[in-house]
Amino acid sequence: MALEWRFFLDPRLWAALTSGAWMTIKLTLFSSAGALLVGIAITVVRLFGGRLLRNLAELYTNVVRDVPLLIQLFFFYFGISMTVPATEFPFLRSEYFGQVVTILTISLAMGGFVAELIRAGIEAVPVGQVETALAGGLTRYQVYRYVVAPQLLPIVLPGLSSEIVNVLKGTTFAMTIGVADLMWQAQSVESETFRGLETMTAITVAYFVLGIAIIFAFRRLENFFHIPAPK
Amino acid sequence: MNSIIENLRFLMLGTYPDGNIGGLALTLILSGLIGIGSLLVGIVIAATTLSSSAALRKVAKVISIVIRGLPSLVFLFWLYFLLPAALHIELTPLQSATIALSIYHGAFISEDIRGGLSSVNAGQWEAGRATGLDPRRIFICIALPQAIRAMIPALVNRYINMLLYTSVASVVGVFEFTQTAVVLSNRILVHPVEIFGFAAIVYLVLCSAIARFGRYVESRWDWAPKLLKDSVAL
Repeated sequence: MALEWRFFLDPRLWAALTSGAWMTIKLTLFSSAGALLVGIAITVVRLFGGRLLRNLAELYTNVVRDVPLLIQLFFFYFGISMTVPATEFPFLRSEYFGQVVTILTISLAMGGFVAELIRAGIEAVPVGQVETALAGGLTRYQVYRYVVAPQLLPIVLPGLSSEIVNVLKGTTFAMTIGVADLMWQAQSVESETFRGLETMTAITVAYFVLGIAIIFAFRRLENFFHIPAPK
Repeated sequence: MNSIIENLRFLMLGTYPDGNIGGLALTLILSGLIGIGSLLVGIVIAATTLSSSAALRKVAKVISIVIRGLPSLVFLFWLYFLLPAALHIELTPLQSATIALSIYHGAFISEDIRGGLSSVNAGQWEAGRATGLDPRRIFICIALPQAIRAMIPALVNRYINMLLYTSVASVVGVFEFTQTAVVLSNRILVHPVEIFGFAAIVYLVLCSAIARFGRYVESRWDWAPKLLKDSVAL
């Protein structure tokens, strides 16, 4: 089986790739937004919550980071479809159910990683600044809102870009619960045409391009939010 | 709960005495193989990125960036189709998963190794050269021990990720723990929450064990900062 170059021009491959790429982009965008929200929520709980809430947030980030995404996906997908009666919620039978479960799972899982990232960013802010602000009479909330938060973005952005690439990579698992993303489309093209090597080469390039696009977008953001060193 | 207890043997060993070994045992075997393989791949890539030839350095860098930019699932599928075609050999799913994931995680490990080595202070090299040690002695006796100490946290994270991502192999039909859980859930049909919840707890325990082991090794190897503290006290 040699690489058949002409197959890369096959309209079947292109139709599958474009619809799959669209779905992958959609999943990535929604999941990234969700992960960001979850990460920020956990950070807020960690900073301002009581002892019990703080411990729960700690437990949450550990659990979410130590269980394979695939298992979490199966847990929610089969768990929801088993415990919620599909007769009363026809949504469970629609094609959107898999997509929603994917976005939910990746948001919850990657939210844990994002929370860790934000914590590392907060720890990177010099302690002296926080102490000075507290001594200057600011409340804890004001310190985080006006002193720490504005400095956070340039610190967190580089890590965040690789985390969003991880979200992109995570969406490949949506294939296993029947969401028609890039990976799923590749499988179906492969089983129709038996051109596995060419199909996989094509989506390898596609994923790489998507990943690079994310990295470059974040580079531009980093430049935009860059804080010039004081003279 | 009963369904898990009744099928515990299946989850742990797959169909072992009658068929191939599977389940949690295979996950552990797979992680072990990938752990060794990826370390070797990582050392090779890291050594290439540090080589004196500019062309080799560039090639290693591109390879590492491309691999790290791809989802493990895509990489696995790709090698799954590519390796038999390119080498004209038959590979079982287990073999191709082992090779693919070793290369995949090897690329990440090469970054950890590079980071660890570059964290060693340049002054250490200069001091070694000033006392008359040859470069190889400086590398082995002075730079490497400190670099390994600095690498441990990153490597522990990497190994946790590696263990978690062996579940990807289930998609190409490797009968490891996740796959046994899927098969069991499909067979019983009514207890997916219990079965996947159990699987989650098992992975959680394994990963916490690795993390704890990493912290233990770190505390055992705590001599570097202590030396530093002594010199500061002097």
